[in-house]
Parts: sequence; structure tokens; C-alpha cells
Amino acid sequence: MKRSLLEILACPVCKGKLELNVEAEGGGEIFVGTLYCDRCDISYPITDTVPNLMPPESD
Amino acid sequence: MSSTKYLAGAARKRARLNSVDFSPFDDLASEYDAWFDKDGSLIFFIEVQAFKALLPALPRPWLEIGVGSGRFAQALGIETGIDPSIKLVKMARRRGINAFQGRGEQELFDEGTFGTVFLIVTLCFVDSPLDVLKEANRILAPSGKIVLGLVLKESPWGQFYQQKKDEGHRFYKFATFYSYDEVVRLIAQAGFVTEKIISTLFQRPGEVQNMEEPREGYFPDAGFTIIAAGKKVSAIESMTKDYRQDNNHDCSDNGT
Repeated sequence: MKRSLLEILACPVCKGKLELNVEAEGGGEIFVGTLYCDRCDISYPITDTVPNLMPPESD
Repeated sequence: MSSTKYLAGAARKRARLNSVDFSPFDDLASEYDAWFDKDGSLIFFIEVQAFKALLPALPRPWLEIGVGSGRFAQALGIETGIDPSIKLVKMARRRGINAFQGRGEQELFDEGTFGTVFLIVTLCFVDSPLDVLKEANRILAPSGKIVLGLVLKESPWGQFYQQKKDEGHRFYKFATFYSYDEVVRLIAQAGFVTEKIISTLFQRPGEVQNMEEPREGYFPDAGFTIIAAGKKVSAIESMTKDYRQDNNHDCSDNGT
């Protein structure tokens, strides 16, 4: 994903801001990392440049 | 946030996420995408052409909910897309779309983020069409539009796909087709006003051989219907807009 995507994304659970954590980046794309919501303590993975914001399974 | 807290949370929550991120389209992604180059190439071209006249009037930025493999997004110039299928999202990204994994019912974006939201042959595959349309309304700017590309239940193509669904077809068994009246009602319930309707694909299933010109309006015998709708303006917003327009008008009349 591109860093600019972070500006429009919200946590799907609480609509709060997401924090980007980068593990691998290059050519303007984040390859591996996470989008983390501190309020919900939920981490959404970024794998092969694709952020996964599918809904978390309810406990 | 401490890194320890983050890592612990990440490991725990990631395990939870993995159990729900599967889409039935993951198993069918290659077959689905190949249709656009083979049997569906002319149909796809006819449908893309029908959108073309609408595009210049649609405010940006654009989002496609249910972007699939990015075929329509690429052809129409849609920048961003979401889809539950990781395999389709990867295909869309290879076509240059800023796509990611998510569902249309989820609140993934801030309010008023987009100018136009497209749902192209998507409403029939979502769990809750009304929730998706309401969410589209929320993430649209006040002057935002939705553009729906639909195979309607009453059309020859809708009946053709319904029969396939009834026979347990691998794609269409997941689809629920809606009539024109049902879609118009859903659009209104979600806070939109229908502005334009375009119909195309009048050739019947198995008989598509020629390019077609789209027609404006609703035709029950059209295989593909496009509905463009704008956000309903609330009474207060409308009064404010009128007040501003009146004031601007007065100023120009007075030469001030």
C-alpha cells in the first residue's frame, strides 16, 4: 500500500485513526507491515502490499 | 504505544483476523478474471461504453466497492477499490488500482472521503445491500454520487443468471438479484436521489455479437442497467445552500 492511503483509512471497528507499522518498504509501496488501532488493540496486516481490513472475528 | 504491547496485540489479533478473511471468490479468481478476455470481452466492452457518458460529471476521488480484479476500475479510471477476495485484490493492484481487502458494509473510511462510489455488479453479491449503500452515503462528500451497475432480476440476463444460481453455479449461487423497483427503494432508503438511468446489453444471453449504443432510461429488457444517484440534501443543508446562493446573487446584482 502507499502511505497516502493511511490518510483516508479508519479503523473498521471504532472509526479511529490507524497507526502504520512498516516491516518492509520500497518503491513507494509498503510490502509488509500492520495498521494498528490503539483504541481497539487490533492489528490489521499488510502482506504483499495489500492491507487486510476484513472484520475481526467476534469473540 | 510500546512495541511490546503492539507485538503482543498484533500476534493475538492477527490470529483472529485470519479466520474470517476468506472469500468464496478466492477459489474462482482466475476463472472470473479470464471471462473478461474470453466469453465476456464484448459484453464487458458494451458495459464500459455505457458508463463513459456519465464519467465527466462525477466528482473525484472515486472508490469502487467490490473492485474484483480491477477490470472496470482500470477501464473507467477508478483510483481506489476494496474487495473481500485477496486474490482478486492482488489482480486489481497489478492493474494499477489502489486496492485492499475489506467489505462494503465496514466503516473503513472517514466521512465525506469520496466524490463518487461505484458498485458494479456488486450489490447482488453483498450480504446486506442497504448497509453497503448507507455506508457509501456516509463516506461520500455532500455533493457525492453513487453509480450502480446492475443485472436486474426481471431482465433476460437476470433470469439467465437466476437459473444458473438455481442449478448451483459456482459463481451465481452466491448472488441475489434485485428488481428495478427493489433497487430504487434501497437507494432511497440509503439517502440517495436517483438522477440518471442508462440501459444497455439488449442482446440476449448467448446472442451477443455486436457493439451496442446505450439508451437513457430504464428498460426491462436491458441486460445491464446503470443507476447514478446523488446524496439527498437535508432541509437545513438545502436552506443554507439557498441562502448562500441568494446572497451571492444579491452581491453580483449590486455590483459589490
